[in-house]
Amino acid sequence: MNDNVLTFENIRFSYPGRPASLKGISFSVKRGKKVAVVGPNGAGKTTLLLMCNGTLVPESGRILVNNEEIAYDRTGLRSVRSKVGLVFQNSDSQIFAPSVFADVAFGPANLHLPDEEIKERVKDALFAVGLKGYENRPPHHLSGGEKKRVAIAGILAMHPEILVADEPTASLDPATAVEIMDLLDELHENGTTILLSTHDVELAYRWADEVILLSDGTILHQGSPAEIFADNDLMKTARITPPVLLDLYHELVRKHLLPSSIPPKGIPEMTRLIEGPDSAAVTGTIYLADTDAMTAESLKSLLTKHPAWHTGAIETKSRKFCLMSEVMIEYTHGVVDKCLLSAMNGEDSLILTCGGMLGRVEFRVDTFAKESGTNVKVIRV
Amino acid sequence: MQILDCLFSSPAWQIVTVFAAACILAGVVIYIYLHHIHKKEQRQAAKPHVIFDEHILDDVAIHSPLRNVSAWLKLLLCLSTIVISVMSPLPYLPLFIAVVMIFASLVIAKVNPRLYGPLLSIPFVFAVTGALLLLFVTGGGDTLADLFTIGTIHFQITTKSLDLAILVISRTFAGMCTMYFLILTTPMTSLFMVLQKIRIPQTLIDLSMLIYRYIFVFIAEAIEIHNAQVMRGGYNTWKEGLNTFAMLVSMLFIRTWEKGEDIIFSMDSRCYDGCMVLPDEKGRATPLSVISVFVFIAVIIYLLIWEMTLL
Repeated sequence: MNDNVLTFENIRFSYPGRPASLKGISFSVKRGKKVAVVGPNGAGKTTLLLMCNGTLVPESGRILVNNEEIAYDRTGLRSVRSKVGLVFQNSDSQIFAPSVFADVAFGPANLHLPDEEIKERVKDALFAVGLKGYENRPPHHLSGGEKKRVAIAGILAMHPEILVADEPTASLDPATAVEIMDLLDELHENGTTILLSTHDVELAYRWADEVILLSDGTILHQGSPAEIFADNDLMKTARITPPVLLDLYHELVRKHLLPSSIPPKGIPEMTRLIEGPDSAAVTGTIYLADTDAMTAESLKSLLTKHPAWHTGAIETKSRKFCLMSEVMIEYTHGVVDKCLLSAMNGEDSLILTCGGMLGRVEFRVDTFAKESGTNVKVIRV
Repeated sequence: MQILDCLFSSPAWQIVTVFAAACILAGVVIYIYLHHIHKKEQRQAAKPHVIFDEHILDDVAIHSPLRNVSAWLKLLLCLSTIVISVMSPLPYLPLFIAVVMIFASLVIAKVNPRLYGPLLSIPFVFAVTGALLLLFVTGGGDTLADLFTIGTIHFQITTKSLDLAILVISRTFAGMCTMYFLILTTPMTSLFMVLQKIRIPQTLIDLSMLIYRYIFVFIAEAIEIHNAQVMRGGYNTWKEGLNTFAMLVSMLFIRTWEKGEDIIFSMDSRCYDGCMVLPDEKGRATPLSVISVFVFIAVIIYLLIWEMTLL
């Protein structure tokens, strides 16, 4: 018994009358991973994702969900689709009900759950994506980012084990894209395995635990982001540009301006590398506050006591909390990185968040401290 | 002179004439207004050419202060009002209803008069053309004016035909004002539940929900295609325009087909099993609103009976 949630075994597929789209694909996704399928346009990413829940049937090969082969009959498909949730690239095709409530409730209703549970699930799902109070809005009154959130909520309400998203950040502005990725991180924190396709290498590099590089219907490589994006030959074959940060790092190493070590994952790691190991003495502290256990007054008094603190909010709910308590927040995107950079400057900062993100922030800071040899501390307040 | 004497001989006719004059005046004002807008557009040649605004009615309904009032109540009010105004044998009651509904739309529902005026001018044009036809074609009663004769057909205005024309205009007006009141205060989403309660077949409701949702998607699509065509000079000459429009329509058809397939995929991925969820909207009916609706209906029923005794 292994803990692969999704396994493709030698999958071949072609659309009628066209050359083969997938030419023998084999890979597996482990439970609790964040996996990105990266490839240029027309590499077969969407086709591959549509197979995960049995929408397209492969010509040959097997697909296993939870180590069970997909049975392409009515009951088999129903059970697969309740385990694998698929978020389409175009939210307009996914959201077909006349109101947000009706759309999110669609999945649970078709699983024949009792009315009470449907309402409960819709409420939870909308809360999770930060769209509480949007129930009666028709979808054409939503912005692109909100539509994407509704689409994700519609899948969440079915409580899938794997969330498969096709280009979740395509045609969203950068800030909204970061918010959607934060949301996916949060879902991952709650135990959902996430598989997404993208051609945004920066995103895949920063976000993914594992990258599957797809080109022209075949898998070129499956491995860690640093391993894949550092390989120039792979990049050239797949017609993909490497992430800017990694490119810069390699260029600096080539010029002997930087020691050759682990490729940096983000801006803080890069800064740390450039600083060198000797300057580890002065570091600031990152304070972590749970907005669920706070009131507007306690936040304000905390901030008046420490006016020098940088502030950042992660997660829609916490951001809303700050808005409601009329507190201006310095960082709203890429918060942890920004706070790490401040800490390396010897400044203190406060991160406001809630739920599973608390643990996630601690984990991120701890890994950074360990890898870079700094002593950045996280303290909950 | 004979016509004027006849028109002003009874007080009822005086009111009707004044109303007719007011309507014509309103028509002229609206025409001038639209003409003015048109001219303004011509002056600003760079203004993007858009077919229509896809959201306008829906937007107004969703932001209406009466949105959360129970859809049942609004439907009851509007349906009974329309039925009663159609039953009315004289134009007074429909005119009264029209005035009340315009008042309700503009003051209670706070609809922007700049939107309401042009909206009302659309049925007004239809009603007036219809009424003109009735005026000349139907007969009966005394002849007021004999205009001309073609072969055996007399084009003349008689008292009966004038009565009928004015009655038709007033009924149309009352009906349209009532419909607009409903449309501008009730979003479609809150009507689906009502449709289900009155036992409309589920298939029809499911279909209408999908249609409602995708109307907006396709209008947006059509506007996009249209803009792309205008940008490249698609509608320069009449013949070219015809060609370009044909392209728009065929493109729209293909996109509809593709979207349809996408919806099937998307519904299947969420285990579609014949279940569509209705929007969950519970309107509230305050005692004041219920009482005022019933009082209004009682008043118009009383007026209807009064009109019947007048005949």
